[in-house]
Formats: sequence, C-alpha cells, structure tokens
Amino acid sequence: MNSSSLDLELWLGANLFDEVPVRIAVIDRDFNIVKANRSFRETFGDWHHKKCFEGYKNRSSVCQQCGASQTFEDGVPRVTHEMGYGENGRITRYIKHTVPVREDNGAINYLVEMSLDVTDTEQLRYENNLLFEQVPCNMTLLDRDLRIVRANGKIRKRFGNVEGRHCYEVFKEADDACEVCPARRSFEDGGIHKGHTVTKNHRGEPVHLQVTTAPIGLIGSGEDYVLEIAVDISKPLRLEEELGIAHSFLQNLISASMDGIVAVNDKNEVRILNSAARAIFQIPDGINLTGDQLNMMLPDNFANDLRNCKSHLSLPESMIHTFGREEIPVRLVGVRLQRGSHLLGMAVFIQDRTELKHLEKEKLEAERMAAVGQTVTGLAHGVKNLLTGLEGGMYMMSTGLKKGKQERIEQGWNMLDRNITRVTKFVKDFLSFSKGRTITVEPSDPVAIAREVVDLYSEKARESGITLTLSAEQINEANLDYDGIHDCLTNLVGNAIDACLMSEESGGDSVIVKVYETGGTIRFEVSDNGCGMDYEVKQKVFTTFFTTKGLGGTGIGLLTTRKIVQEHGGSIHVESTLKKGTTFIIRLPRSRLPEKAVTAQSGLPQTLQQE
Amino acid sequence: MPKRIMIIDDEPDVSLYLQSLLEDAGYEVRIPDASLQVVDALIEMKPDLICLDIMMPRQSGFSLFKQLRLHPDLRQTPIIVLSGLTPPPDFASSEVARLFGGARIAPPQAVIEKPPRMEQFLETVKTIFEKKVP
Repeated sequence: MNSSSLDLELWLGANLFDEVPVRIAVIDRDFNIVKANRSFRETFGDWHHKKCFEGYKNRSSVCQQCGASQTFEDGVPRVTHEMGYGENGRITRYIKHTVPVREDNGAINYLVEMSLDVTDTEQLRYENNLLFEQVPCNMTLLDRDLRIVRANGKIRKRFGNVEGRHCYEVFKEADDACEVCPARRSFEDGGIHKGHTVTKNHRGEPVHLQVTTAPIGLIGSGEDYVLEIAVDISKPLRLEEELGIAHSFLQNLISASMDGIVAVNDKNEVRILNSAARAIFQIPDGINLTGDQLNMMLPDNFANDLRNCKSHLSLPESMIHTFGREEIPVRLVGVRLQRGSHLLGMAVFIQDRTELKHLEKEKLEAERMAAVGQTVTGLAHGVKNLLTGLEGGMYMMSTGLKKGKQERIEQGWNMLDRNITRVTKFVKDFLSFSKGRTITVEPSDPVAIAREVVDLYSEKARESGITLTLSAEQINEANLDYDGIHDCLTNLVGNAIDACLMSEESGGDSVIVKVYETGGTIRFEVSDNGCGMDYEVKQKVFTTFFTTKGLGGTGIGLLTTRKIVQEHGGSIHVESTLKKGTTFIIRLPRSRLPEKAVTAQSGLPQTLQQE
Repeated sequence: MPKRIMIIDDEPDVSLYLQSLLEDAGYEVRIPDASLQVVDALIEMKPDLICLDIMMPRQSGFSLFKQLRLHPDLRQTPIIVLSGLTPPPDFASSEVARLFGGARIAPPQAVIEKPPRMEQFLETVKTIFEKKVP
C-alpha cells in the first residue's frame, strides 16, 4: 500500500460519511439517534438528543409500523418508503435502507439508516398520473406490438379494462393493424405523427378522432413506448357542418328576398348585394359595386348616421338614387353589424315603394269616390222629404181652395214657403258640395284657420251665453285647402253651438276647439257639452244624409266636412254621450296630405254631372 | 165609427200632409203629442193602423217598429212603413234581420216610398182595412 492510497483510505474514513449525498443516521436500541451525517442534518435539522421518530417525523412516540424494531429483532435489512417532515415542516419523501450493525458476538446494538430523497420524483409521478388520467381525451401507452400498456380513465370508461390487448382490436374491432398507423410510424422514425380515425361510441354512432402519437423511451435506448392521444373532434365537425348549412340557408334567403339587401364590411367593401338590390338600384350585370358608389346612391349621410347610431336606422319613406342617378321612393332600414362594441360592418334593407305609392294614391282616390257616392245616396233621401213637403203644401192649397177653407190654404201656403226656402238652401249647399270644386292645397297654418273660425262665431256664442275657446299649440305649416278646412271647422263649430242650444240639461255652455299634432298627424277637435247624441244618431251622422235640426238643417254640413277631410287623406270621427256632449275629431296624417300643385278632381261622378 | 190612424213622423209638414189626406178620406187621424212617449200614446189611442217613418233622427224607426211588433197590446195593429230611404228597406233582407237582433218580427203590412203618391197611399190603407174586416 503506498502513501497516496493510504491517504485516500484515511480521507474516506474521515469524510465519506459526511460527503455522501444520502442521509445517514445511526440509531441505538432505544431509538436514539447516535450519529448522523451532514445530508441528514441539512434535511431534518439538528439531531442531537432526538429519538428517530422525533428526528424523521416530528413524532413524540414510536411509529405504528416501525421497521427499525423489526430489524433489531430479526437482523434483516429493510427498504421502506417513508414520509417525514423536514426542518421547516416541509413534507419529504424518501426511500430508507435500514441495515443492522452486527457485532462479533452477533448482537445488534445499532442500525444504520440510509435515506434517498424521492420527494420531487414522487411529485412528478403524481402530477403525471393525474394528467394522464384526467385529461379529457383518450390516452394510451402502446408497446412495439401495438399492445395497450396503459389506458387512461376516459378509455376505461368507454372500453373497460383494455390493458394487454391490441389497440386495433379495442378501438376498431379489427384483427390486424390499420394500414395507416401513426403509432407504428412513431416507432419507426422516433417522430411525432398525426392521423384521423373513425370509431363508434356506445350508441354505435360514428366518432371522429384526431390522433397524435409521440415516442417515449429511455435516453439512447430506442423507443420503448408510444403515447397515443386521441381527441374527439365529432362536435367541431358537426358544428362546421351546421355552420355550412346555416350559411347556405342564409345565402338562399338573401338571394331570394324580395327586399334589396346590401352589406358592407368594416373596410367599406360591399360583401352582399342580392339580386333584388341589384334590380332596385338598377345596377347593370357584371358591375361590382364599391362602398363609395353605394353611399352615393343612399340618402345623404345615411351611411354616416348608421355608423354613429346605436343599432339600426329606419326611414319608412325615403329616396335613393339608382345607378343611373334616377330618384325612386323606398323604405330603408339600416342595421349596424357589430360584435360587442366592435363594428363588423353594416347592412341595408331596401323596399321599393314605387308600386306602393301608386296603390296608396289609388286607394285615396277610391276613398274620395266613395265619399261622393255616399253623399249622393244621402242627398236622395233629403230630396224625398222636401218633395213630400212640397206635395203636401200643394195638396193643402188645392183642397183648401176647393173647399174654401182659409185655414187650410194658409197651412198649405206655409208648407210651400218653408219647403221652398229649404230647397233654396239645399240647392245652394248641394251646389257648393258637388259642382266639381277642386281642393287646392298650399302651405297653410292649421292654427290660423281654427282661430279665424272661432273669431267668426265668437259674437254668436257670446249672445247665446256660450264660452267658445281655442286651445292650440304651435304647428308647422301643412298642405291644406284653406277654405275647405275653414268650411269644415265652420260646420263643426256651428253644430256644436246648436247642440248647446238644444241642450235641455244643465251645461250646454261651452265649446272648445283644439288644434295639435301627434305622431305626424294634425288633429282638430271640436267639443261641446251640449245635448249629445244617442247611439242611433251617432251611427247616422256620416252614413246617411240626415239632420236632427228639423226644418233648420239640410243635413249636408257633415257630409261636406267629411268629403273635404277625406280629400285631404284624413278621417273624421265622433265621440258622443247623450245629454253630456259631443266631440268631433279630424285627423290629417301629414304623410297622406296631397302634394302642392296637384289638385284633386272631386265632385260628382262624370255620369251624374251629365244628367 | 171611422177607423183611427196614428201618424209617426218627425217632419211636421209630412205629418200634416198625411193627416189632411187621410181625414179627407174619412179616417180619424192622430199625431202623438211630442211630450208623450210614442208607445204610451199608441196604447192610449188604440189605433187601427200606424203610419211609421223609418228615418227618424231621435229614435230609429226600426227599433220602434220592433218595439211595436213585440208589444202585447200593439202587435196586431197593422203598420205602413213610409221611408225616404233609397231603395226602401226590404224587411225580408238579412240586413234588416240583423237590425232586429235575430228576433222573429212580422213584416209591415206595406212599405211606401216617400213622397207617397196620393191614390196609391189611400188605396193601400183601404186594402189593409178591408182585409182586416171579414
């Protein structure tokens, strides 16, 4: 033995115990730690005057499973897997080799315990296991024969215990491996491979799986295993298919729509332009519309207003320009397409109103003609009563003369006189009603007309002890036939005053004229607290030629009023309670008022005028 | 004893005319007092015939007609309807049936359009009375 090897022996004897990276402790039969090395101290702290269970595990008594006691007993070395607490209370896992120190006489007074730290390894194994079991996809570990070495919970749940069986048997119910097998390729070239396969679920429905295989092996020892990960992509595939269906459904809807549909994206590029939109805008075939061209055709600032609005913009009556710069009436609805606050683009729906406008005009015309027709029917009735009165007068006169009865002659004369006066008034009213007067509209102030009528009647009202008031708000001018509306209000206010005079109840002392506008409709209301009307009378005020004023009225006033109102595209209604009062309401929607310079031909139908 | 006729028409001139016409023909004619209810006046007078205008403003002639036809004391009294309507109402029409609200109402004995032609009117009255008296 030379001196250097002697030195080495000395160094080992003096230092090995402390330098070895394994925790070593020596305990006696009373479990006292009698010696321990640096590694032990670094993990478990100061060991002096501690029993082994105190040192390793912070316990105050002997462990239930005590390997040391057994080794003292039988002298057999032991390897145990233990868990203890480090100096700072940290859990530490270790594999402990317990070796007895046998003395010459065979007695065992000491044990040497050598502990290898496996805390990190255990942690990794635990995490790895958790990941393998809980990951929401199918995971298997295959060996070179394509036998399943391990399968995770998801696979066990679906296929039961599959370990030891071939993957193709389990997943494909096949006798041989698949022709294209990513696992086999991973074994061949050590690379990661992907594939797509179809199996069945427990209901026998096809399940689409995307498969990834990765080799796992010890360093430099080739690939022992392949980890196969299969993800169920049936749902994304189904969604993709549904999306495709929805898309083509929308495509069909858009292209078949009677309304024009145009959509631009956030870069102002036209992405949708259906054939109806092409037709309305009269865009020649083969021309691709740009966003700027579209904006030129839409009403001024429409695109801008739409961009700055909350969700949508509706223009029930608007005009657009065609590709050839021709103006046509349309109904426009613009919609902001957005996701959250992010603007994706804009869509515009266009309805051609040309035909509709035409129809509306025809309907208005038909209503006007109907008004004239009803009036003529009513007139006939009035004429008959007059004729009866006249014939009666004649009869009384002639029989009176024949019999020489002065009283009867006078009665007859008075009858003739009254009815001739009525005829005169009747004919005058009738002519003004029917002689083909045209309504001529021009911008007029509705309130001014009402004020004039109220002024006209103020004298008569005062004389009769009736309060006549005007309640009006500022209204913009509208296309009205000034004289026509004046006549209407004159009739209604005149009627209201008469109703007050005929009232037998208390009240009958107030007439109120209201003028206001709501929702684009101008409203005139004439209310009185006079005699009111019962149901029968209310039914008849407009439907037939009719008067409650006996010889005082011709019954033509309300007919004239209704005719004028209808020629303005409006309507007139009555609300009345017997003995409480009456309100007549004229509604004139601005959208239906005639245009200026267009005069509506009215009056009797051509055939009647010729007779 | 002359037959008694009640005239119900809100046109005073028409009432006076018909009254004179019928009185000249020898009938007794009454026009109900405006202050009395028509039905009360009729019950009081017990006329042999009623001439009823069907276009009266205050009370629809139709509803009065229905009332008379359903009244136990008046249901047998013949009625001539005088009407200014064009065309005169057709009591067999569904429109009139609707006005009666589905009640089974016997039609008037005659419907005459205004103005009545004297001879025709008197002839109608006469015929009704002749039928009534066996």
